[in-house]
Amino acid sequence: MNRAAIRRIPALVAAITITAVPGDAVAQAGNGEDGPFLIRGATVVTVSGPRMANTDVLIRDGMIAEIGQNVQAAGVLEFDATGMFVYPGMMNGYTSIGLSDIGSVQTMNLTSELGDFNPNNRALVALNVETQMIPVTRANGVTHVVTAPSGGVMPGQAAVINLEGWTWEDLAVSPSAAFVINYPSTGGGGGRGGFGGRGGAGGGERAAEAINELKNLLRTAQAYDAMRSGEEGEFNLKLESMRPLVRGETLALVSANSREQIEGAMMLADSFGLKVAVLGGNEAWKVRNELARRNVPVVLGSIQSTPSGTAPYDAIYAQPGILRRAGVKIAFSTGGTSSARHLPYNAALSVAYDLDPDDALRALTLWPAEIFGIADQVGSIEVGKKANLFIADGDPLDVRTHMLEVFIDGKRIPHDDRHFQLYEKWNGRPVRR
Amino acid sequence: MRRAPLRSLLGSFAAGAALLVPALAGAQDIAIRNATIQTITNGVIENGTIVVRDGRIAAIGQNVQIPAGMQVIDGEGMYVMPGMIDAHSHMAIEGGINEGSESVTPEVKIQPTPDDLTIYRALAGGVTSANLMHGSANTIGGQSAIVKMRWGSTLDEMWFEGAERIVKFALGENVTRASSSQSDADRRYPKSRMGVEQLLRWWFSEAQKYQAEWQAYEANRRRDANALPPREDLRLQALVDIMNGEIKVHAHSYRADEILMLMRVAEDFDFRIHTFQHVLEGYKVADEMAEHGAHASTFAEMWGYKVEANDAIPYNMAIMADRGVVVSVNSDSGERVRRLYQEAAMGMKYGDMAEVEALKMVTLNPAIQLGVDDQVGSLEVGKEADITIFNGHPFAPASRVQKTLVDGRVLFDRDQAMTLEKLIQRAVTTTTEDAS
Amino acid sequence: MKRSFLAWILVLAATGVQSVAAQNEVVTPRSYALTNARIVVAPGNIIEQGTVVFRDGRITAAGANAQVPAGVIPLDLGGATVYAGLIDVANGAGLPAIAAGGRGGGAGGEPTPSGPPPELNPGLNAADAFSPDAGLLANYRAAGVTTVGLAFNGGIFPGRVSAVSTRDGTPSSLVVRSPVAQQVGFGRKRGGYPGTLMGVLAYIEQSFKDARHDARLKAAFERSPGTSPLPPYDSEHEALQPAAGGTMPVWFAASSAYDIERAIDLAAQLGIEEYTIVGGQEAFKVASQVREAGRTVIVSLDFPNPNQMTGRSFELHVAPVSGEDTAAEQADSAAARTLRGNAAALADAGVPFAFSGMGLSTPAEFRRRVLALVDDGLSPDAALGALTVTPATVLGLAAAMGTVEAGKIANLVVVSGDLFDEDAGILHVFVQGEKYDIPPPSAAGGRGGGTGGGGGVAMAAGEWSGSMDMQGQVFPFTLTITGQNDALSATLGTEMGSTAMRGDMAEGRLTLNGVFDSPNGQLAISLNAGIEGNEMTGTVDVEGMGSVSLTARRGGATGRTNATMDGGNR
Repeated sequence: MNRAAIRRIPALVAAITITAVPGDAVAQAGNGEDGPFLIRGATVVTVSGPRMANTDVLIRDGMIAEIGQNVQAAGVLEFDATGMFVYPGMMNGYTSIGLSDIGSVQTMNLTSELGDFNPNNRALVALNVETQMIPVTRANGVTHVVTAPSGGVMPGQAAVINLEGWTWEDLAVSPSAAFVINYPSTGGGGGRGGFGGRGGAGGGERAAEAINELKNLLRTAQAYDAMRSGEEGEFNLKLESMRPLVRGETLALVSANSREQIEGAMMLADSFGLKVAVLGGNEAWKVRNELARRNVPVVLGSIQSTPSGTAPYDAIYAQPGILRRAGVKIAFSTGGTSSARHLPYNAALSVAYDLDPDDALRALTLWPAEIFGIADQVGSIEVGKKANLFIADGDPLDVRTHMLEVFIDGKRIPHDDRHFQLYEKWNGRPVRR
Repeated sequence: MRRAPLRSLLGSFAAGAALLVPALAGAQDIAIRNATIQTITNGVIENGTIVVRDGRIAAIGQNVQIPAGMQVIDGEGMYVMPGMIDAHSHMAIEGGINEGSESVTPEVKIQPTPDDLTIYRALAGGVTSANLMHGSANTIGGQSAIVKMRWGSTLDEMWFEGAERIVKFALGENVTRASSSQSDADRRYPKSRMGVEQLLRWWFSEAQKYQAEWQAYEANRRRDANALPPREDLRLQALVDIMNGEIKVHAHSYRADEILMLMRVAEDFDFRIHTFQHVLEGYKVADEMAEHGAHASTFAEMWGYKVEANDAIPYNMAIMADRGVVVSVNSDSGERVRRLYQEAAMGMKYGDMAEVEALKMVTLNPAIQLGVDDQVGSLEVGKEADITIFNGHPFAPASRVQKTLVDGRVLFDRDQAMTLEKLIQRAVTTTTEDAS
Repeated sequence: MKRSFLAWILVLAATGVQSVAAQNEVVTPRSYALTNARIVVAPGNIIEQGTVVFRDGRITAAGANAQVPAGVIPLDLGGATVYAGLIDVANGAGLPAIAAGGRGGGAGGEPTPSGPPPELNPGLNAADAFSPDAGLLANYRAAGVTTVGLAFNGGIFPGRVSAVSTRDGTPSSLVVRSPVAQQVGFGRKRGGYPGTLMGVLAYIEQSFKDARHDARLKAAFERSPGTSPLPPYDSEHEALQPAAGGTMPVWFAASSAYDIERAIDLAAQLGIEEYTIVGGQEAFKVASQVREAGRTVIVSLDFPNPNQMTGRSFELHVAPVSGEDTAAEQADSAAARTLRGNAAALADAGVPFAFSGMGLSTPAEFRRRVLALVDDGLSPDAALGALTVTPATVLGLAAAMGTVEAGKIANLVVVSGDLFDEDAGILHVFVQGEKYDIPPPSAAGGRGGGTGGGGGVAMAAGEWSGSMDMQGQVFPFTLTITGQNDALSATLGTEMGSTAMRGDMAEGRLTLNGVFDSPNGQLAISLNAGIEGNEMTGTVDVEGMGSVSLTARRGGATGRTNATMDGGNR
């Protein structure tokens, strides 16, 4: 490889030719640049509707203002995206971005609280907007993510956040998008007998105890909700927080991998009327028809993981396709922080193992938005939705594709992530010798 | 009494014994035709044919005759490339990967085990050989086992004959963190990067003395047949072998300072660091590495998981390659080894490596780093037939491995493998219970 | 069982008992003439009716026409069969424990403050450490065993093998031959180097080289003290010198197929010519290598967990039989049968082997398992050879025992019928001519084992929960352990995910090893803990991160923090 070749990254960025510049355009130092912006001549992959060739997209006031041919707008920064593609920004269904940073530094990872039941804890208020994870993640077209607390049985409320903004209030798309519930495990993952199939004592008993505690808390919260609706009873911080959960208004994101845990998650829907989504779901294929029947979606754990126990070699890769063919709604996630940007390559592995490519794209955009109740705001390229989108030179599932311009909340994201900056700095180091 | 004519026992025994050999029992003559063949060294052959005889590539090209009677794989729509090579792995190791009791243990040799499911999963990801390394707890760890993925073989059959002898060094956080939970009095030296350098210098100066002692003995012996040999010390001898270049150093490293430090120490003792492992800040000292002659084996995109990985960038591969370093991308994990091709593609995304250069990072370049590039790493006549067959371009999102051959034997075949879909189908036909 | 017991009583009544009193001559002690006997001289060599004569514990005649001399007690066996006394060629009952198996690692015995650690004590002769429980010797005899190869179980250089007889007496009076062989194994040193299999292999190699080096210097000094340097002294190297110098055979403890390959390679590398593979549970998988190396295998009848058999994971996950349902139970029994077929496979392959009861609960179990193997198809001659001629050879006692021939020590077993017929009972056992009458099986069974398999052994299996203390940070974990103590599988669950582990437990010490997939790559984890009742305390070592202490409880309750936002100020 010659030295010139590597210089092509900035060159590619410039391939998006800026064809018109408004007189008063001012880039805001360090954060997204306000529009309006006009993307010209792209293939627009709307996700909610058909692919539209040679189409313009107008972004104004943070929103997608217009989609069509020969869109006219004055005072816009205009991009010639001929031969390029516009996709809705991708949504990562489970991360700890903002709560957590360098993994090995304990004080940078305050993601969990003492005690098993903290439903009132909110991820949103503890987000570090300056985390280096945000610029790195969004640079690859992941524009919004679920960020969630961890630990215990009910660690708290996850938020959906835009990866752009000055404060956590700016970032919030859905401040309390879901209550995380870590369904206790009896350690019998993959056991044949279904719920309670393993006769063992010990951990099973402990899990059963925790499950009982969870059920009791939910019952108490239901009773509390009824009382407070009748304006009776005394205010209780924890139970007050749970009212939207027990009313089935806010999602219960139930972490469950084994069959019995997933069956437990469905029980929470059946017995307590919770609006449940399964998180992780390694053995969801075993109960795919029940999940489909109840409309319980699955936020898949990282596809970049190894099957456990006796599962076939392709179990993790092939499951998304199998769930889809059974009618289960799915979304992709990575967990963690530093690999959150490579969300689409999780989906790519599933496509290689027979997930429909269009479904894969939906599971990266529209479906997670639907699962977390924000599909009216994001998830597709439609007029009236937030302008969370990106311009790419190819299929985002293809590792080789470059994300050229990223817009979040209508703002153009600067090419300022730490990796690109270090690359520019050190690639520019004069050659020794 | 049940004096049984129960020879059934022997029947079942035969089945069990056979387990050890099925992988290696297959014929080693096979042909693949009508495929897109990525040779790595001689371009891409469309509608090409490969003929394998006795486990080696006998012919390759567009107009190649397949001998009559040979088993043939139809490569229609398939993309054929060299079996991938993982230059950094800890899979399939028995009895511990870190002799962490002391910080310098080059005499220990990694013990592979062919009885590890990860081998099969690696084959299902198109990987045919790997450098099974000592862990990173020691400044100078043990010697690698370089193996081919001959699952189910005997131990003897697993070794990659012809590979280099390789020893693992490690720098930075991991070696200095060992025993960190103990009080300073009980801790293992060193606990700083400074100490790591001095430990290296101390041991290599000891090795020099040891070597001198033996040289004196050899000289003496010519005069005095009764001369007594010095004590043979496996550890110091391994260090001497390192200084003599008979054992190649693969050094776990992160930061630019420690990479540079190790090269300078090696130069002072007149040897070279063969390959830096991880080397996440290699991009900062790529010129120095190229000048020293060091290769690099790195992660494609891992970063931020510890402080010394915080300056890791996915452009690392491209910058190092651009400045003349032979770069491979490795797994270091039983997970990434299943999709090493996806990692290699990152080279094209971050830094615009040419496609063949990106593919080399999982084929020819790791072969160079393990000293087996004359045997594998590209598809050429005379090379060992370690071949991976994809159902499309390996970097395309819809592609997966269909078959993997080691020495011309098909050791993974998706058509034969138990897959989730097949398991479900079988469950449907046998018990409706589990498949509901 | 009832029927066979009855048959046994009848046979006992018909033989010998009445004849003892018939003599009025002065008899030499331990001198008998066993008349009206069916004599199995050696495997395949049977005298249908004859007499065995021994005097002062030594066989003087055995044959169809052997005469009953004066001065011996004649004993009419009424057609019962005389075999050479059986030999359990390697058993650790009555010896201090060292570690589990030869393989899994983790030592069991507490190192004494002064002496060498039990895993590295090559100069210790097993006979000198032998302290049999009451009843042990009688239990051996009840199983027909007249000679035992005392061998340590585990360690690296745990000591040397001794051959002892099973007659009653003080431990030292039992010794037949000691030392027999130097034991070498792939156990681990607890704490310090070598702590891994690879470390152990290097350590063994270095130790043999050192022993030879020290011997060279010692010889030089003794040859010319005036000009030679003072030789170094190291008790470990000193003890290894006979083995390193080729004057004492080596017993390599190696049970898995790969460990057997390693032992063969290591022996070749070190130029060790006289050695035996001990354990050999998977020798059938490498029978051709063993035969090529010309080795005898001491075959353990303590069969491993089928699910840990080499190649088992592939059998289960990779190459399921097409079109057939590999129901776990079915496959399990097939795998178990495969492991039990070890001896038969070695017999077919022409590899000599001897049986060992190492690790079995009782000598009765030893005999029961041999019978089961014969029932499953092992030829009785091969089984008898593995209990007599071959172990005698391995113990260096081929000239002294193993057959019913003149000149051999009068170690004999009298069986009401065929030794390998489970309905036949052992009537008498002669150990060095000393006569022991064997009570019927039910009574013998009632005597119990006394070989360490008794009550109160903590089992590791169960659901554990607890916490690890990392520099004051407390992290909860769960640990699910399944399996028997000698082959455990476990899942360690922490907030960072779950990790599969394997290991074993011996002498109350639990050892589990696994590989944890961290963002920082794969890290080896090893857990080492003591278990008392439902309490576990110990350490977890994570590769590169050092050691942290842990405590856990089986069953409910908990290192779980239940602090609430009101209570949990930190």
